[in-house]
Amino acid sequence: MEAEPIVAVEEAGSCLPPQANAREYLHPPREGYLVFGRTQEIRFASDSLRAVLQLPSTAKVVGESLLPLLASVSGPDPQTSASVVQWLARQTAEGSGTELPPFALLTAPGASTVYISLDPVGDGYWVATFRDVTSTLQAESEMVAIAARDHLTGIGNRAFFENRCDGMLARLAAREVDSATVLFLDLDRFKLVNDTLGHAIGDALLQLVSERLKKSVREADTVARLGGDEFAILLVSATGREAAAALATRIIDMIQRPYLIDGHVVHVGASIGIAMGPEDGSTREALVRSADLALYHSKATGRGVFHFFDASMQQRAQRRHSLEVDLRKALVLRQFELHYQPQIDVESGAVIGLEGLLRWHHPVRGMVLPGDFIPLAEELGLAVPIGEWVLRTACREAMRWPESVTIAVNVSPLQFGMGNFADSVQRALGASGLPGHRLEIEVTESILLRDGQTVLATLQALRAIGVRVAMDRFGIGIASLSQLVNFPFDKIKIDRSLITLNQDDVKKRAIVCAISALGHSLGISTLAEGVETAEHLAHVREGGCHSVQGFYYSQAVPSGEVADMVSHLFPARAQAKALGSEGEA
Amino acid sequence: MNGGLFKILYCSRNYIEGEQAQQDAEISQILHTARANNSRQSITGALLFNSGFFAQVLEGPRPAIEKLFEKIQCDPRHGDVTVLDSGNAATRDFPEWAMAHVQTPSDVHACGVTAALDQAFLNPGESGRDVLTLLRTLLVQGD
Repeated sequence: MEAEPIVAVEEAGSCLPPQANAREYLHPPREGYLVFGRTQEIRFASDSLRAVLQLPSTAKVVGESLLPLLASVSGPDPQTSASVVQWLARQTAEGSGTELPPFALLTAPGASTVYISLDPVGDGYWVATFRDVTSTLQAESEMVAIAARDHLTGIGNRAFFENRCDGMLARLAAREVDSATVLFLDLDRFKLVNDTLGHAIGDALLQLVSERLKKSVREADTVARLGGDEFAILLVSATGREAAAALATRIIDMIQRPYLIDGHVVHVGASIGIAMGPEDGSTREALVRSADLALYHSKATGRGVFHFFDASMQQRAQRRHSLEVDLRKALVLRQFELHYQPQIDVESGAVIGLEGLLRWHHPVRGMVLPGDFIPLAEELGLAVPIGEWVLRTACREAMRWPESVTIAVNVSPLQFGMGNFADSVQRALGASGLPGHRLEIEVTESILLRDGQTVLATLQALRAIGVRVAMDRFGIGIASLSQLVNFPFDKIKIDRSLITLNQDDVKKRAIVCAISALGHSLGISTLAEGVETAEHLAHVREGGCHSVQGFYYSQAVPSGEVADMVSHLFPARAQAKALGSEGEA
Repeated sequence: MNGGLFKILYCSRNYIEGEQAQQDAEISQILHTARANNSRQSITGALLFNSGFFAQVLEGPRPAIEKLFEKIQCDPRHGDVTVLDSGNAATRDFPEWAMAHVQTPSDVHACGVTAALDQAFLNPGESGRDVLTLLRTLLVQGD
């Protein structure tokens, strides 16, 4: 390969953004370089060199000789100066590039420490790179002083962050600075990496993430690992909202780029919450809480994004907290109840099943619908105990109703995927005396996203005890028709969005027909949800569905009213039958 | 022997702004640096650049490739990095090149290159072989 007389010292991978202002933000001039030849005459110098070596702007560099220049800047300590000069002479003579131990440049107003490294670039030319490491060394020594280094990643730990944050807030209180900006960052999908590739790769990933974070901020900013996959960044003052937003965008971009670890290509994402003192908190506790809430908001709104703290998050958090407190007590205080909605056979008009629907009666909130508390229950780990209560209650109450009526129970993917779900079904059946064939478990298609083996094993175990499984809300999500072939479902519940339609909605009609037809050929029965009018009923009857459910027949009623509801529906059935027999006569 | 020969092929979107001349200057700088560093690490490969995309093959000892790949990830001059292929390999595809510069043809073939890379972003799993062939073909033509 050809030797190039002069190369730029930025390496292919260095983090230099294309725009000059971004360059300034990310890398204040703390690295400069020059190129010199055999005679030690300086042939080229970077613009940043003057700032790094603190040379007066009038000083001539290009055309000067290297060693006198260094001697002039390497401070009043003659020994340091002499050793640098000797070292340079030796290195250039031997012809191999290495890094020199740090040498001090004592220049008013303060002392800075500069690393110098030499690289031969061919034809007797050398690049000398000067890197100001003063603030790195300061941070290092502080870290050592407060024993605050994270062992895995080598960056600061929580104690270090807290220490730095307190320092910043003290300066804020003394009006030395006018803001303190904290970014909290949490990795998306990190657990998945740990679970699938193992902890060694997870650890290596955390190290690379730390490196990328450090490269994304200015040297004087603080990057710390708070624990697990949580990081905090404290920005030095004079950072506006816009700059913080730009940095967050950049960090999210950097973190979500692929990693190559032990031959594996690994992907994670990052969510960020930003809080700025004093507005969002003038104590560490308050500022950290604000950043945490903003991070939580980012996590909840799709991940891979950042949000600034705002006061509504605080209110939402309070509302959520009080809902959490109430929800934790609801089971014990027996505030849950099942309501039942009938499932009707399209041909006979008979009630063939009842779907149990969870209701939460709260003394102050009134009736709370599942959509408003189940997501929180899942987050709090309450979904499984609540689900078990639903299962037991539905089985027990179903014993009061005619044997021809099945009872359908909704089960969360979490509960279904537990591995021992079939056992708890068996316990509920055993305790109530309900025969297995009268119970139907409704699951949403998202269970198919879980471990296929566990799901399949659970489906088979349920089938073995006679329990049927229905796929709920089919036709809106990720499940494809082909998955119906792979998993042994007994019933498909066609989502209401395909049923409630305008008269001219030809496409939806076609979908309902297709699903029903597939059901027929696979021996899976079909039920249309959300039937509210006679028109809907005609539409699904035409489409070939076996059964229906919806307001057209009845809304969900408390268990005490089920008997009445069923007897109200029976005349309709009797009428249909009568009409049928008349027709035959 | 730490893993033997390892190879990775990726494509990414070009974030370098400015006139053609500025872009060319950046690219030749990337190539110079890459060649200087790669020959020390016994890394070989090829880099394709057109105004919209990069596509690059890196081949060499795995630890060195991993280090370099990480460095490349941190480069803000590109983004949306999509790995098309990676893994151990028996032989090098570009044994004689510390980093070959694959010229984008200026004629009608340029559209074909863009289309192939567009396809690569959409279907990373299935495009590795095509992009590699593309790099090799264009390299030969460029000679």
